[in-house]
This record gives sequence, structure tokens and C-alpha cells, in this order.
Amino acid sequence: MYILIVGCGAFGSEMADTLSQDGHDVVVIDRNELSFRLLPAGFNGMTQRGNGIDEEILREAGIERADALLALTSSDSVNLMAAQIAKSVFGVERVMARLYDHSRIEIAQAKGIEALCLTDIGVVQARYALRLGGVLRLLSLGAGEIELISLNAPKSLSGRRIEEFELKGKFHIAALLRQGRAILARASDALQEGDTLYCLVRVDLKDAIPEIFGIAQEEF
Amino acid sequence: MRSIVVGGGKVGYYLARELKRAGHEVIVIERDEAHARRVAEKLDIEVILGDSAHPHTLADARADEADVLAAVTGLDEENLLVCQIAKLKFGIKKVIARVNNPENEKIFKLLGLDEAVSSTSIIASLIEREIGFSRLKSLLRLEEVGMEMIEVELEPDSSLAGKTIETLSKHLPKASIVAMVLRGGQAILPRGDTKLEPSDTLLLLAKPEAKGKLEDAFGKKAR
Repeated sequence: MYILIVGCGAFGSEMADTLSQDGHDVVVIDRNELSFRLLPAGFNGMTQRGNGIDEEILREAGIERADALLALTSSDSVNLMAAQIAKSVFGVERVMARLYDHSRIEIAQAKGIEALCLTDIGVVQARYALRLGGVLRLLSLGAGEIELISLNAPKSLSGRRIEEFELKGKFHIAALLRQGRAILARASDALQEGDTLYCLVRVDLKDAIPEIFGIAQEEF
Repeated sequence: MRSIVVGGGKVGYYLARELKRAGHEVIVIERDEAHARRVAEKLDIEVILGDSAHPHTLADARADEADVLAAVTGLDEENLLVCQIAKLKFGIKKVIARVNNPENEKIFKLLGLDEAVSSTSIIASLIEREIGFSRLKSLLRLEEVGMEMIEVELEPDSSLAGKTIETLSKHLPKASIVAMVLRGGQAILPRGDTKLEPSDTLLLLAKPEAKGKLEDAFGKKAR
């Protein structure tokens, strides 16, 4: 794919290098020539100096034949504007904007832009890392039909077997984290205190997790 | 009318002042504390301190009750985003964005913001009119139908004097028409046989792309 990246900060440069190593043709755009120093010496893509919301600069970077544009500067509004120009003016198929502010996702989606809200992702990761308990949504699959969640097995469930909680086509315990090691869950495995469970759940049932385990919300 | 002015810098300050003088209810949104205080104290206008491109800030400014929003900050991308949030989330019908970089005027329109005001282009056209390197004065832009009303003043010794509208029309681009002739304070609706006189003022309707050919037809102003 021919991919344009707007913004060569820590995120943009890393993304550019990764995509380039994946074999894509990458052009990274930044207003500041010095930003390109963040790219590793072996970077195989191209750089274009200039403003990513400037039609001419985008044209010079080859937007007319681009398959995707990722707007990854540190400004939500610059990212949204660059993404909209890519989508509405040049008809780029895949357009993504990095956002800090969760409340702007709606605007992005209304304009046909995929929002990459780092704040949301960060919040999920941090909550997960803190292991505060409760049900954590880790990943949304497809258009959100299925979610990967994690939860700490409550003490009251110790000794119960994985298969007791299986709901065909609705809820599935996929893996366990036990004493720092991940294992794929087998139907006959018994839960232990301190286990973290990774479950796939149909999105309409995600609020029914306590019921599935037959316990009260507070026990998580 | 309830209006929200986004940006309390120079443009925002004077715009808010004029709106208030005209009897509008005005709320200003500004992110810089010093600017915000200046507007609040000098103009006695309610100022919301905050990030304008954030829906919460717009909600604080009671955007759901506003009739008009003008985004006049110095950042085009902010002005675009604020206007889009105002339209999409708060249903404000009339939103106007200031365009700092004239290149963005076209982009804003392509992105669905019809009311984009570029101070740079306005100043340029005013200066152009004053120093008169063009004989054409753009009086009015009819954006929706893609037409412009243009005024042309004939010189006292104009070579067009004595010629008929029909003859003149042969030299004018297709996408233009002489709509009116002003002579000595009188308006004349032109027919093919109307004869032009020195110092006549012509009002033309033309598509913007015809302007170059109109310039050629009427010549540059001699100074």
C-alpha cells in the first residue's frame, strides 16, 4: 500500500518505520525538518517537508495515489482537518486520525474517518496494568460485535471448571493468566484464586458477565 | 439573536463588540486567560475560558441555544473543527469560519463549510479596488449560483463610447452579461441597441471564471 503519514513525532516516526518495514510505500510529512531525525537511519520510506493540511504539500507527497492516510500529529484539529482533506477532497480510501480528546470521535466518524483515540487506549491499558479488578474491555473485534475482555477470577469461584461458564456462541473463556504465565483455557481446568481470565463475549452480553458467573457485581 | 464568538483575539474582540452594540447576546470563548479577561472587563461580555474545539466548552457557552457561531481564531484547523462540532452536535444553523490562510478558503468549502471568510482575500480585494489595477469591482458574490456582480466604470475618453451593447457583447465572454447601465444617477436596463456613453458605469453579472476575459475586454486602468 501507498501510505501517507502526517506528523513525524514519536508516534508518526515509529509508525512510518514499522509500515515501511512491513513492505509498504510510506511518505511521512512534517512541518519541521528536524522531526525527521526521529526516523531510524535505515528508514526506507520518503519524507516530505510541509504542512499536512496544505493541499499542495499533500499532492506533492502523492496523495492522489495514496491508499491510506494516517494523521498522527499532536493536534486533534490538525489531524481531523488533514484526514478530512484526504477523505473528501482526494477520496483516499482508508483515513485515520489520532485523537487525544474522546469527545471528538463522533465528529471523525461522521466524516468517515477512523478515530484512533490514544486516550481511550491508554485508559484501558493503564486500568489493565493496575489490575484493579472488574471487567476490562481490551479489544473490540470486527465492527464491535465481539469483545475481548479480561477479569480477575473472584475467590468464590475457586475450584469451578471453565466449562461451567461456557455459553455456546455467546461467551467463551479463551485463556488464563496464572502466576504470570498465560495458558489456553481447557474445558476441564479449574479456576484458582488470582487467575486472570480472558474471555470473548458477544457485545450484547457484556453487561451480563456477573450473571454468567452467577455472582454479584461487587465480587469482581 | 444569540451568538457565540470563538476566539477573543483582535478579530474576536472587535466582532464581539460590534455584535453587542447591534443588540445581540454575545458569548465569547477564549483559551488564553489574559485575552479572556480583557474581553470580559472591557466589553462586559460573558467569556468562557477553555478549549473551543471541545464539546463541553461549547455546551458551557450554551451552544444549543445559539443562532450563530463565528470561529475567528488564528488557527484554521481549530476554526474548522469548532464549526463542525457546532453544526453536528449543537445544530447551530449559521456557522462562519475565519480563514487565515487564503488557500484554505476552497478547502473549507469542499469540506462543507459554506461560510468561510478570509480576511487576507478581503483586504487584498479592497487594496486592489483602491489602487485600481483592475477596472472590475466585485460588488457581490452570489455563492449559491456561482455568479458575481461586477461594476465597471468607463473612462471619460473610453473607446467604447458610441458603441451599442450588442457590439460590446461580442467582445465579452459568454459567461457574462451587462445587466444595467448607470448614467448620471439613472439606471438604464440595456437593450441590444442601447448606446454607451463616456463615464457610464456598467453592472455585469458574470461567472467568476469569466473575470480574466472581462479584464481583457475593458483593459487595465491607466494611471
